[in-house]
Amino acid sequence: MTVVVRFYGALREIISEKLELDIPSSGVPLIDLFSEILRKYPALGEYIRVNERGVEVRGVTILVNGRHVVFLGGDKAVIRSGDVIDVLPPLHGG
Amino acid sequence: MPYAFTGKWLRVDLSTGSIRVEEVAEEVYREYLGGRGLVAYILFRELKPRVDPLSPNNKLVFATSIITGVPVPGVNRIVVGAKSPLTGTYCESEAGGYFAPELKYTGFDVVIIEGKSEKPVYLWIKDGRAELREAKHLWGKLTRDATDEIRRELGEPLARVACIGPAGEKLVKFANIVFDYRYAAGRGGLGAVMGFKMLKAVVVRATKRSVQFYDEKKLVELARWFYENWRKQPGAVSRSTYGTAELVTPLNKDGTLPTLNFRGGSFELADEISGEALNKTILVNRSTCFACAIRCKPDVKAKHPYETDPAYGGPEYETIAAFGSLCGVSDLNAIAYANQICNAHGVDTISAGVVVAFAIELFERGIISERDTDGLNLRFGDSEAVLRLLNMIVKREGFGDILAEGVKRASEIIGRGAEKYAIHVKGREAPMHEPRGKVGVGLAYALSPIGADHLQSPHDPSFERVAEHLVALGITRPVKRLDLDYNKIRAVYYGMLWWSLLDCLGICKFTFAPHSAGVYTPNHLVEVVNAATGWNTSLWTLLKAGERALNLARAFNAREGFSSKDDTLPERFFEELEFGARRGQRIARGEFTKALRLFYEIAGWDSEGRPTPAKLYELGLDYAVREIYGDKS
Repeated sequence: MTVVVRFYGALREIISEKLELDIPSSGVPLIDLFSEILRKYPALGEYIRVNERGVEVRGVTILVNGRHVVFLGGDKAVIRSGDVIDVLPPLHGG
Repeated sequence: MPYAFTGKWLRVDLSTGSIRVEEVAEEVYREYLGGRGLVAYILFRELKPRVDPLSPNNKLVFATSIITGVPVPGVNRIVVGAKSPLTGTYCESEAGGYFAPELKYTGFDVVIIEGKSEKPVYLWIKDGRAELREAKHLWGKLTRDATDEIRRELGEPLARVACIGPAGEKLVKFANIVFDYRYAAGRGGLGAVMGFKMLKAVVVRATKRSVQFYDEKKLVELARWFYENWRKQPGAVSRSTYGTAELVTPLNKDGTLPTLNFRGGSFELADEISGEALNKTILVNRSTCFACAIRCKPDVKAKHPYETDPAYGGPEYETIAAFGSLCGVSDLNAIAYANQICNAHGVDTISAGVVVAFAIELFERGIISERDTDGLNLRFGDSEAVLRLLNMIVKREGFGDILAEGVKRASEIIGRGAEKYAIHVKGREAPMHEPRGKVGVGLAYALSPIGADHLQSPHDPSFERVAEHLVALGITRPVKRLDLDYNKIRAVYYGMLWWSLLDCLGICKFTFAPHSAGVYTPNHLVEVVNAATGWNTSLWTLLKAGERALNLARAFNAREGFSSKDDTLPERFFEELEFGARRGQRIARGEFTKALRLFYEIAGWDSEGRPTPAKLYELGLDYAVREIYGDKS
């Protein structure tokens, strides 16, 4: 049972383009998934933190299957096998 | 002579042909710095209220700043201003490249163009001397042809040329000024002002540097620090690799890539117009601006049937989105060709793309038909129709003549409910940033003195991550992206003062934070100013100058009759996004109105959005108090 987490733009400078992570068949809450990613890639802590308030994004955006997590229950969203998670860098003007 | 600036302004009256040099006191530079500050100072003091932008009484100002020409990355932008023929507001626009340092080195900080010539002319400035030269043979020429011809006849291949194309001559309301084929200033129609005045070009060349900087060694040290550190800044390498086109993919996934005339925020064919796609298909080189290491500018060579000339540069993010997702077009070759048409004829790519998308939506909704469009069948995604319509606009042919008035005026001419689909603020077409996903950007669109503009304040995601840069500005608490509370309003306000300061100094926002590639901090900027001028200034004093310029621009608009009713957004942004990752998201009108009111109070503006007498006095703008409120205030 796996999920794919993809990173874009500036984030690729500190983490790979794509991670494939094993998860339990019952799924995993978003907060647990990012705790695990941050354990392996602490430099990502510049943009995402997990604390008692939940997953705290600092300029980045998290999508699950193309939808914003805010529309899917936020921190409580349960990630299931086959889901694709996109983590977008801070988006400024051009 | 002071350090860093010449203290000399060149005043050119095209009606009489007179050219004179004015000496300006250091005090003026201390208070206004340059760029936006000086443009606002000159326009407010010298233009009579309600002057017709396309009349001899409008003035066109080219302004450098006190630090233009220092060998520091990003300090290279020329600021051009006038009353806008597109909006009727105060207008200024900035362009990168090499023109601004060259102008400063000729011995003039500012050029003011007045009156109207009876025949086409261009202004030639070299090493402290200036003359008007006949330009009849250049009238009607595309920007590259005119630029090449001017350099050839002057025997000056290294001259820097700011010129208009045929669109400026035909008074297209969003005509721009094109520098050295590819750098453009002129959102708001400054090219039309130049065209009305029959001024084809301003040409500059300096064979020696006519200004000295106070501490050149320190400036070199500051530049070296940038070269050694910029690659460490998150996002800087991506910006250098893909240019601003890097934004296409993440904005699309984020649901904030303006698509189909702002109906939605994601474009299903975005991968075909992304920065990655551009690098793989049409990119041939990357160019840069004076003293900058980032090299974010693309040179492209598009393929048949849309072959392009790399000299015109290539489409950057705003252009890719405006002619791509906004028009439903996924052919990068066609987008590059549209970019070339705009640079060659001299029109703003953002406004042009929005005007075309507006027309397509009207057509698809049945509000207009082939009877209105001279037989053109307009559909989203039809690149050939987009290019044909663009050609009609830049030449003011047929239906293009109406669209050349800009989206607001065109919608009023068309009627039949077309106004609902005209996406603008104060008559200026919205840039390619979806405020329903970045509400602070929406606030800045509404409050901007020049109409919708994406470079008035840092974008909301900047405020979620409180970095050293923001702390220096007093923004110490992270603010969530979609919040519109007092914390966000305060952050946008402080950001607006900082970015107003950068426009006063003619600085690129990609080199000074807060931005993805913003390497220098605000305190670095103070060091640059002090090293250039020998002053002992502070961040507080500089930010006050940014605030002074912003308030003067707002005061200019107040004097023209603009008020709180104009500080708003198009109706569409209060409606739900129809598709994309943020489908269903909208800006709550009540919350937005409340935020505007609080912003006014924080900024020291009254309920009509005018700077109060107290605020103007505090900024030393007593002459503006008299103009706006009379002698009894």
